[in-house]
Amino acid sequence: MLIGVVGDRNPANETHTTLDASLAHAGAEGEWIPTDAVPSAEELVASYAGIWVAPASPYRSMEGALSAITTARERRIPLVGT
Amino acid sequence: MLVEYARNVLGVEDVEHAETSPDADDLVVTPLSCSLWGQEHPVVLVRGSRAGDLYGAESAVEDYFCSYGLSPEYRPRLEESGLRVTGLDEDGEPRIVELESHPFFVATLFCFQTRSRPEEPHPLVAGFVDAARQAKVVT
Repeated sequence: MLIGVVGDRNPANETHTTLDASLAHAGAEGEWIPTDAVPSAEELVASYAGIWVAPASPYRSMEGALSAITTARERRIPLVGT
Repeated sequence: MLVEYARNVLGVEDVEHAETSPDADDLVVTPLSCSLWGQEHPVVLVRGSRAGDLYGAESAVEDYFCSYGLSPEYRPRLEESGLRVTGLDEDGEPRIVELESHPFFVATLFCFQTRSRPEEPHPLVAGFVDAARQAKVVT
């Protein structure tokens, strides 16, 4: 099962590497979505069973992160933010 | 998540986050009185909430990598609208918020993923993934 991870991944950031690992612990897989490349609401709904808003602000695109959160809230996609 | 919620649910169009817009007049996320970067602290869980049920405990210790939190001025409005504080520090400051009317809408000030283990996934990760498995999204 695929989780969309909205954020700008930095392999040196422990909170990012442990995020990927923790999803695997629960039997899911994370696919990172850079904040400046967040797709349309339709594409998010079709592609991801859940959305995780990753830590480390500022985001490259605050608007991109906000649009993904709006989609998850309005379309009732499970959403978590750390 | 707080900025999105305040703008689009409370209807406060120009509300901002203090880290990205420190000079904004209206802030829903403000600097903490004392930064929590790199520290571990207990979180007291509200019984009967989604977070409280998932942890199945009165409290937990979590890792923090942040220096910002929910503005005290906004807390009453957010809670009245349904975004509830369900995890608090020992002084009653918000550490977890969740939206009861949504299948799973949980934001934490701490990074629970650091404490997840292969043989024992963190309860919030497990709860989130379970909710994703069961989700019926609005298409």
